[in-house]
Amino acid sequence: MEGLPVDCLSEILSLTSPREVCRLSTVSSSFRSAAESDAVWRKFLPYAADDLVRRLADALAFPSSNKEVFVRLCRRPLIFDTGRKSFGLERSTGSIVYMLSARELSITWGDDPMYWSWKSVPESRFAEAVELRFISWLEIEARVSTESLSPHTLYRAYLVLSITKRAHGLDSVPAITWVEVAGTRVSRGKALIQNGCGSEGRGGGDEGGGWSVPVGRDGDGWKEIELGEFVTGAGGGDGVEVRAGLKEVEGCQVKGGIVVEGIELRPKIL
Amino acid sequence: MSSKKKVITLRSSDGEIFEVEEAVALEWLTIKPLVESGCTDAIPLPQVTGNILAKVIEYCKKHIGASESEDRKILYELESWDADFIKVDQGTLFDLIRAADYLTIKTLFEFTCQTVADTIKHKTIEEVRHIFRESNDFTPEEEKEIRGKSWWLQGL
Repeated sequence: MEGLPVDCLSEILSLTSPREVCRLSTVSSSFRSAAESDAVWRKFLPYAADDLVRRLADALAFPSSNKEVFVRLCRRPLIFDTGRKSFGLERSTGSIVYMLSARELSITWGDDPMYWSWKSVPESRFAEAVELRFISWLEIEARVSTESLSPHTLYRAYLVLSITKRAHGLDSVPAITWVEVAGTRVSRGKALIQNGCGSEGRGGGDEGGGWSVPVGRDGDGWKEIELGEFVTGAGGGDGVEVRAGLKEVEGCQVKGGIVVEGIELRPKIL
Repeated sequence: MSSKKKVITLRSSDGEIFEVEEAVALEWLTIKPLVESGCTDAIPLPQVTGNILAKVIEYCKKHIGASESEDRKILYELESWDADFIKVDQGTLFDLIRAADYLTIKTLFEFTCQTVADTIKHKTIEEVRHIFRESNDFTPEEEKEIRGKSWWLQGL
């Protein structure tokens, strides 16, 4: 008995995941042809973000394959909306990675130059980041519609920041973190913005114990603090608002010395 | 126009004769033009054997109209019917994929391909080769290239 024709193999591969396609491309030369096909990679490019994908395809040297567009979006996110948002893909699942720059966040007193100083930071993907000089009321929140994200996906929200030499008052009182979906709080936690003790990541469970602490990000030199997680719904036209934020307003404690790049929403890889 | 349901005659590769309602045959894009042209002879399907054609007809008869239903009960019933339908051996499953591809029956093609996609997820490369009757036909150079240059294995 013969194997299946390549177009059938393509259809089967397109129903798996980017990671699987790459693994299965080593089965045989027919599998490899199928794994390279445009039809397969078209399926992994998100329909929800069709115009963004098209914009990127236009920007890339033509003619580009869908796989090339996919790989490019995994390697380097697309910056759009005048340098205020970014859009990329997670390589093993093809799920959308979405980030709002500081300019797109709601930051209490963010427009008061006494507390917050806006500037262009060479290490940032965005046009601007914002440095906290000092403040007692620290409150930062992102609002994103689930329409911008992949459907049926477990996401985590992260505050992306760097901690400067002038950092102060950040390691004594934990900040509160949260995620709300359509007005319902789905995740809450605590975070230490500057971790004096040098422990890694989130320890323990979500209740009581473990606090999030800043951990290094892969490749871009920034740090991130987990704000919480949530699951997106069916997608399509019925997007709901997700809010993810962090607040530290206890005890009139003055703190400063962080640069906020933005808040990133990315799929949790199981 | 006659209200009586028009019947289309099909002939499998092994000479078996099947009769299907026109509405069913119209879903098969490959033969749709023939059906629409009012062809009254038996339509030969040289790539599909009788036993597979019987399965294809069974599936399409069950699905016609039902797939578009919004009645949850009907859809649930259809889903469990599908699950029973697809309990076939690997060879039959692949024959169904080939038939659905050849006849261009979108629903059946997607369903059978999804079934295969789900089963190969947790299989090793060797097991996949066995299931698909594929052999490792890479030259040593290609093999080396795949291992070394694959953007996936290398990391993005």
